[in-house]
Amino acid sequence: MLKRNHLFTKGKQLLLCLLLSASAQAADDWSFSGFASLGAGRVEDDGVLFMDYASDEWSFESDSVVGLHARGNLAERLSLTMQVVARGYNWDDTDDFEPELDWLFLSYQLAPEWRLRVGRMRTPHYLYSETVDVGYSYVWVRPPVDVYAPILAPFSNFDGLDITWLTDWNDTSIDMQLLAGHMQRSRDTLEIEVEPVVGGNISLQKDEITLRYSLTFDRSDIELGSYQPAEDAYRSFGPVDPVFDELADALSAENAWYRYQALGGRWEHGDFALIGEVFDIQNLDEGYDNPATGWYLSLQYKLGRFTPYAVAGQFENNFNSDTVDEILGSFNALSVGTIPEMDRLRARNLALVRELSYEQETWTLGLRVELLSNLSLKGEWQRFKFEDQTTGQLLQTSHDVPGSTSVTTFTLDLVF
Amino acid sequence: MRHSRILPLPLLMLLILLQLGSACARADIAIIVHPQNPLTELSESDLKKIFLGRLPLFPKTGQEIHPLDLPEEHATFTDFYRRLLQLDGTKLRRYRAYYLFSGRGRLPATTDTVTEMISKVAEDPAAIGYVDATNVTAQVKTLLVLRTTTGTAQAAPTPPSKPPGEATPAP
Repeated sequence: MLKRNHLFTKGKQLLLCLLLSASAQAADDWSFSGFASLGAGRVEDDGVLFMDYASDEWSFESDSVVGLHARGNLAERLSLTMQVVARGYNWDDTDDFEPELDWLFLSYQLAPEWRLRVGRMRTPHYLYSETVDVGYSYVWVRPPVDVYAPILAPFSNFDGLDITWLTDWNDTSIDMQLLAGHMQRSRDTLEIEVEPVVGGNISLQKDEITLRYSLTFDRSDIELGSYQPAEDAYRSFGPVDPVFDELADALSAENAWYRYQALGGRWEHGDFALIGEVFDIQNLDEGYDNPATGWYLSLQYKLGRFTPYAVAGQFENNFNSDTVDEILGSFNALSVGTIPEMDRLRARNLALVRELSYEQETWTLGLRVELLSNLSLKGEWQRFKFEDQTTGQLLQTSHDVPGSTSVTTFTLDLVF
Repeated sequence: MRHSRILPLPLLMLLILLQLGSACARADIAIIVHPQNPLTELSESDLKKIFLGRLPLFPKTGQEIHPLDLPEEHATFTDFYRRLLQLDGTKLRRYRAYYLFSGRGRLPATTDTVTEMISKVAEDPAAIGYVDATNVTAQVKTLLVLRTTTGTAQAAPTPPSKPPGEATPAP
């Protein structure tokens, strides 16, 4: 792994040198552009944080972002694209405003309809996955959080290759993309390595309607460092009853295959647009299990320079849903009171399952205003409703949690 | 918003006049390429794909395409994208921000004037551009004419018997 990363770093250096020398030679063949957003947000209730937004004051970092983009022609049909993005808030362990390489690839046009790319690319899970940071490119303050969920943030880039095929059939535009690669990220205490990721998507567009389906499989190796002692403790009771091995397996997320599916649609009729997406993530192996589903439906209507919009959505994450039954079953094998440490472990495990299984519903009302030809202002009010004393995608910061809360955000979005 | 309120009245009237002028002056749009471009015709659907960035190589010849734009403020720019893709300023800019920053390709290079557009097309065998049909000169070849009044496209009247390299006069 380390060796590959080293190679990739070398590759980056090489490409950067290539970029710099090429840009010095032929400035005409290079184009530079960028985007930036300045955001301000606040959560209504105490006890929860959304990104870094809290209830006590407006904060200006979480939706603020700046990105620089360069693209150059190296030869006929061959180009290099690079995009560096610094975000005020990252869902993984990247520091605030630390520049990250989101795109760095060589693209070769094999034929009018076929294109091959090699390098680092954004993982195209959903309709707007590739431009999540480019606020100017969509109507919302940020793509609906029920689908563009933080759970996927560590998987937003991959290093590998893809091939796209763009064609027409009976007045329908067809885009197909196949990809393969690997990725590595860390989040909180989790070290996540994905090898391989393979997938594809197909997008059909006819007149006012676009439909998109995406299917991705990956083998993720997630090191849940903080669960290791619990896993070992269960494992040591494996000889007593197999149920303890199952409980241990459920805490080990090594080399598990996941399937990601997403279906999206967009209907644009004059000044009106209806956009919706639904996704499903399933673990395909036994043991550790963390399936998630979510959807949103968004309606917008353009009135001159004003575009009001409304979004409804829902998100559900179920961590190790079989564990509750297994723990209850384990009481037959080892009854309460026999070994106090094991009783405490099982109680903590039940609490963990409840804590990591959560459900939320959201309602969003917002307005986008075009200020200049490359500058827009957005304001959005988002209502979160939680189930079962959980806090959905918001971070719980105190013992008492609100059953619902709202987040108000304003952004200025610029492209240049 | 605030700027438009404090715009001086004479400037505002001038803008309105220009606006009216451009509406009256709506004319056919010629799609122009280098005279040595071996293509003799181009379908409207391929033209759409070229300016949406979905077709980076010329059909049949496989040569890389360098699309050119007039400035956004130019009346022919507005007419061209409205006529060809039914896209107005905001939608087009949002599409382009999406297209560019999702790594799909490059945007057309911008030329400042019709004269510059024509001279760039005349210099670059891979270029494709658009100008008001009345502005076409002998330096470039017309592949297609978009009729803005009737809303239909017509192939450029290039007789296939013509020797290659000879420019087609504006229709």
